[in-house]
Amino acid sequence: MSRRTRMLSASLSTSLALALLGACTAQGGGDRDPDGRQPGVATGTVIGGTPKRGGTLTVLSNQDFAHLDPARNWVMPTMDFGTRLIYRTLTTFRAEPGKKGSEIVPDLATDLGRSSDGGRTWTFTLKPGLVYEDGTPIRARDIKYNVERSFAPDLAGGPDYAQRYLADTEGYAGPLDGKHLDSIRTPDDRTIVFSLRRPVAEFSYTVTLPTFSPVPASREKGVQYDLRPFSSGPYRVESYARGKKLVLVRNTHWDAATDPVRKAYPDRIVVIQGLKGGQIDDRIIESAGVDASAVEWSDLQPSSVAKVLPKPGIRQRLSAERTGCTDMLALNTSRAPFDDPKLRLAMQYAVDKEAQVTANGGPALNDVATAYLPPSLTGGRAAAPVHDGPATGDVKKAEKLLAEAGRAGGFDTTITVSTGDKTRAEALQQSLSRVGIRLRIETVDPSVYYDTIGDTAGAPDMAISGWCPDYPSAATFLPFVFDGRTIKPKGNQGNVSQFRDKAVERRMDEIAAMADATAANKAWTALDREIQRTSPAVPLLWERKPLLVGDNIAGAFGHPSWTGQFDFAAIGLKDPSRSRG
Amino acid sequence: MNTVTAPATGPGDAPAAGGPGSPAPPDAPWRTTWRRLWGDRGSRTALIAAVLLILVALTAPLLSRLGGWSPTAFDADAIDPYLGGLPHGPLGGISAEHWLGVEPVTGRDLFARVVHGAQVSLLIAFAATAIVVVTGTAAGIAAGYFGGRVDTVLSRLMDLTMSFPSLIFMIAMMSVAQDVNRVVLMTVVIGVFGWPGIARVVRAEALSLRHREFVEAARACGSGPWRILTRQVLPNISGPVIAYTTLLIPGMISTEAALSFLGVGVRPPTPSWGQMIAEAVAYYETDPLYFVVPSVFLFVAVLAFTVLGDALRDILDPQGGRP
Repeated sequence: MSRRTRMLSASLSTSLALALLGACTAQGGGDRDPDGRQPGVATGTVIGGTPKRGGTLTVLSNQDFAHLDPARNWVMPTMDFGTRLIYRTLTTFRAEPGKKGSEIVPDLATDLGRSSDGGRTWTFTLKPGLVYEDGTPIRARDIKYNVERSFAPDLAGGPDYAQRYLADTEGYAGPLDGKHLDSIRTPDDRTIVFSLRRPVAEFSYTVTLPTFSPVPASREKGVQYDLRPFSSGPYRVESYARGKKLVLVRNTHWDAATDPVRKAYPDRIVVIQGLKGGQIDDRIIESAGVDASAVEWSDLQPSSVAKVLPKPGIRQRLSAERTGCTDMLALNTSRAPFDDPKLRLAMQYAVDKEAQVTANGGPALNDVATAYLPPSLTGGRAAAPVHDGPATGDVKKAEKLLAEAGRAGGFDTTITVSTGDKTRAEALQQSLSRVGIRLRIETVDPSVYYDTIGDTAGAPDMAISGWCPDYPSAATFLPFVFDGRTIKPKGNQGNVSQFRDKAVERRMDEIAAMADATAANKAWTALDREIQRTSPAVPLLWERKPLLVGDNIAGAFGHPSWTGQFDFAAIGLKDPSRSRG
Repeated sequence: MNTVTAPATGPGDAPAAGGPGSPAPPDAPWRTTWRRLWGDRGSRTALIAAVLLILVALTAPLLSRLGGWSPTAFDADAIDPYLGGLPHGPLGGISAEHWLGVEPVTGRDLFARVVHGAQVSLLIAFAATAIVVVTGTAAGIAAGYFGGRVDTVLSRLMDLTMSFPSLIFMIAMMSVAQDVNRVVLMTVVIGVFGWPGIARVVRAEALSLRHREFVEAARACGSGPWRILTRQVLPNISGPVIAYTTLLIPGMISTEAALSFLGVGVRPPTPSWGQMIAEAVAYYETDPLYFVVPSVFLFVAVLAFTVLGDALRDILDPQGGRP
């Protein structure tokens, strides 16, 4: 995904292993036993065993999906929901917990793609006998059509990898007015060939994105397609009232023999939206009636943690997978005060990351971040910090840097946060006040948060901003967060710091062109450290995603590729007869 | 009323003299009021509570220093980060160190926050009331005394302001005006919508007063309108105005709390009761005391000022217009 969804609260906490943990402070990048201290079930564990086929799975949510249209779906858990249930992609991630979930397998395609021309040309062949929900065949040109749709300005918000990677896309504005791309060829109904502008070694991963799923041109409805995506997956949309309720029923034309990944256990999936976060927690804790067959869509509220952890029966229904995202404090480098690298550096020492951990749900659900790249992209280990010192900050060093920048008395600055992050902003305010920095907090409604910080002219001095890799490659991280060429005047996302550095951009291009993935990974990690030295953002947290399930749920696990959201390909019910209320 | 106006109150002081109490000597209306207020157990308790709250608000910095915590200081030792930041110990972390417990997650001292919250709540309530009373009285007196076109214009303006969806407008104002001092803005915004109520009461009083003999007499003696308004009319409506003012305060306190509750109140980390209650809602089950503490303060404040206002109205304006 791109940005993480900081809707509603976004925080959590929990703990388990209280006894084990006692007084541990995560200083620097000390790697701790990942599972011994995890709040819910251990990473890699499936909650509830193997599901039985049938029944109705209920998903309780406090928000609507941003977009279900595959060309526009770029918010992490929604990508999971869409690609696991409604549409298939060329390749996809394994439906398994833990590390194995990051491996990809062919989905619509027969293999992971064949590259030629040094990685500039990628060819995929579709499996025979693939059909849509009405029984008509899925053709290669439908995938081409959806990739083209991602260029249409009307269909904004989706992954922009096609724009970044495909050759000869200058000035292309989508297929809605009848123009098509020459860099995607479909010599027959089962073959699709992508010509890229530069070698992309991990293109097999890129095609896991919903952009690379089929949409027949005859079903085009422009922005209305969002309401009823045409199904190529195991379920089709029966009804969808935005913000209220989505009902999925089985797509009888979907053939499990062509699909090694999706198990499609439940007969119906009902998403109920617009509920209050705390109520969802209470209902699932209670697990009465149909709520026993329900899972929660958005994070367990921090205030509910104390209702879950002390009770082992409920705690074993809690999944808390690592999100694989990095939560950062973006410093607006486009103007004073943070156009001064010295001041930005001082921030690395002035911020109390330990207080951020507490304000975001505690050490059981958060690790202190020591780099921009999350551990999943740097070989599974937290990187050694560039700016070392205690996680609570180094006041002396910060003061020294402030004095060197000529701001010994501190300065005034602003932060904008969504209302759910107010406590985090206050913790920040408190920690910055130790070195005389006076922080003014603006709170805005979550629904306008990204618009507010994405308006580059009116952006605040600081913002809390997260990024999640779209697939396990640093190429889906650093170029989105620190490439100055991606900054847009409105709707700017990713590079919230508005960081522009010619040397960094040049280096990104060089690494992106590397054919050897291991060497590229090393180079990205080195570049991460390089960027930290100019400090456009302060890495704050690596979070987990705490989600509860009802006691009739089976096969539930947080999938590592989708920020720890349940893998909807494998989830189901223990006893389907209990789900009919 | 002061001594200058004393002669005028003699003939005009129907409301004060008409009460069920013993006929007061003309120079002692305050003493009567005081005696009746103090004599009743309910209003005496309310008066003490209100005075105490005002004292608490005034001495908030001293009190919180006495408690040893500033309202913005985090105390990481008072909470359990592994349990979602719940306070250590029973009853929301009440201890010798934190007299009323601590706020979950941050560990900020509830005693310090609640007394500083009193400062914000009462400051906004009193300042907004002052705006309402001054504007309302001035507009009401002008409308009632001058009548005619002035009355028409002012009365329509009152209708307009009253029919305005004020809470929605306040929320909109607070979210649009980002860079303004929040306390000032809240005071003004709350004040702007409160004046018509009191203006109507005052207008009705002024309307009946303008033809009274002592006003006619003053006019016949050649007094100008300014002198008549300030020396004859104003002193005679001061009873209802004072009663009404006391009744306004609890409304203002609740409005401030409501706005803060809805997230458009004072800027963090400034504490306010409404904001504290809003945040405590999520913890009603796991840390009920966090919810109870600010709620009790808000409840006592509103109740005390309401009882006090009722008592004052019974004394000063017995047959008078209920707002």
